Amino acid sequence: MTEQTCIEQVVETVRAAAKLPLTRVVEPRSRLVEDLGVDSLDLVGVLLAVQDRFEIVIDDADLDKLTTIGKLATYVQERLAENEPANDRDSARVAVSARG
Amino acid sequence: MTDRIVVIGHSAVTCMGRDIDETWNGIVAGRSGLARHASLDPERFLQDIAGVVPDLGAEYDDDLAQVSKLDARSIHLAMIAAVQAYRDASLDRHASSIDRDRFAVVVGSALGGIDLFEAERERSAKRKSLATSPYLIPGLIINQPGGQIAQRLDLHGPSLAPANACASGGHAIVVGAMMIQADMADFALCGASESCLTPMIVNGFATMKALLGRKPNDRSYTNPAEASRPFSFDRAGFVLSEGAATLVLTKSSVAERLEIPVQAVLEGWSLNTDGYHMATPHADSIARCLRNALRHSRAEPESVDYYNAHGTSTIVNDQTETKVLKEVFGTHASRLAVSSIKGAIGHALGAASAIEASVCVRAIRDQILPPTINHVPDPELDLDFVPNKARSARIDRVMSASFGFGGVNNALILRRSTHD
Repeated sequence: MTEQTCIEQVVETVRAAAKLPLTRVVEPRSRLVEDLGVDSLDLVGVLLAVQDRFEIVIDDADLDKLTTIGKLATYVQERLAENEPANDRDSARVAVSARG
Repeated sequence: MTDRIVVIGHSAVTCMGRDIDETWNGIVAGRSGLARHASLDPERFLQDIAGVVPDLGAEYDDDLAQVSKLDARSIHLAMIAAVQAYRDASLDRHASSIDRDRFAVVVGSALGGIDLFEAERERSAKRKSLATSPYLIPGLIINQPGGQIAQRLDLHGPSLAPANACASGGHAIVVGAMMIQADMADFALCGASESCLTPMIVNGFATMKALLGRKPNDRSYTNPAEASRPFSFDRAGFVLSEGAATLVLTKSSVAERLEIPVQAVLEGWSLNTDGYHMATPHADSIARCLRNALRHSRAEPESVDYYNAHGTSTIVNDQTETKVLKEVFGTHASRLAVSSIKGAIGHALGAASAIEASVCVRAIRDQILPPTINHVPDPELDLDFVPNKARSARIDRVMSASFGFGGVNNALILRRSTHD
């Protein structure tokens, strides 16, 4: 999955889970709580929806780091890369590292 | 004149219609809201005929925006019904005259957010972690519809969520009236909602043989609209449906002061408990419940013009209820108009008695007896069940009764407001 595709899917998932109005601008730098108005209960729902959508597990220890759409998308790509077979892993790592 | 408990607003959301107008008009026209639904896949459900409220959700109704994350249909149905009844009572136009700390909310349900619970359980089974939706518990609890209604309408009096199986709605109306009588509230928004068309619940009722199962030789097989047929010779179980309804109650003096039209008087009521069996009704106990309601109303049996029956279309209920009516009403039973609207809209469990109360308000307003549709006479059940066609009649006093698993019974008596 490309970085752009991942971001688009994360935005779509967050929009649906947090029931954000269509008029709300959501971009990689959008902060979930401060910019998108996601409260603490909704945040749990958003992260669970992301887990379900991408079939990954978000470690509780990582929750505090996932504050923006961009950080969440990066995290998703990293978890997906870990889950991929070994021969696909190298290309995924390149994609992740290319984002900086 | 004694201060009475009066109905100033009413609503219903059913498989027949999105409001009480559509519901009432469909019932009076003799239509059925029941149908075969593809969502009730025969691979997973023992019955695919049900009463479903179509197009339910925030995308169809602005009043549901607040509850869109709480994906339990009973919450959505309760919200629609509550807002409709509140508007029907013109209370949005009397905002400055209402003490919101004295506005009670009593909204019950038999099974609450069980649909959300089952859906979330299926999602959890596919998940790699043990996490569940943070909305599971808030959406599951039976008092959440009342909580959301209070939030939406800015109501802060006492609230309660009666969970009394198929009698929940009637119990809620009685509790609301009692809160006003106890001077805990000036107004009470009361009723019930239900949506539990899930595999576990449908199959649970079907396995008990309470629900009409799928039967190739049954007339419902070719015509699902004939699945529910209370008091009929070939009745074979109830048909599950979803819905919600609300009454707004206040004291007659308050309605008069605010110049809000009185739609009906809630003249009397009764609650009792069989203490007999987990699911089988007890005729003597039900008879006492009906008699107590008459006593509470100080009304003679002969003064009741219409009895809105629990009438589930099960063999046992309809037989027991007919026997009770003969016992309680004596010679008047043969002249009493009796009907069950469950033939038209199925059995919405906890919401049923609230829907039936709303329909009784309409029956009094329009002076029309709603019919028992799909009726084929049973020689053992020989009352006037208003078979298949609505009738005009003088309707001054109505009794509506409901009985639920766990042996809970209620009876409400509504009276035309001009009949003093």
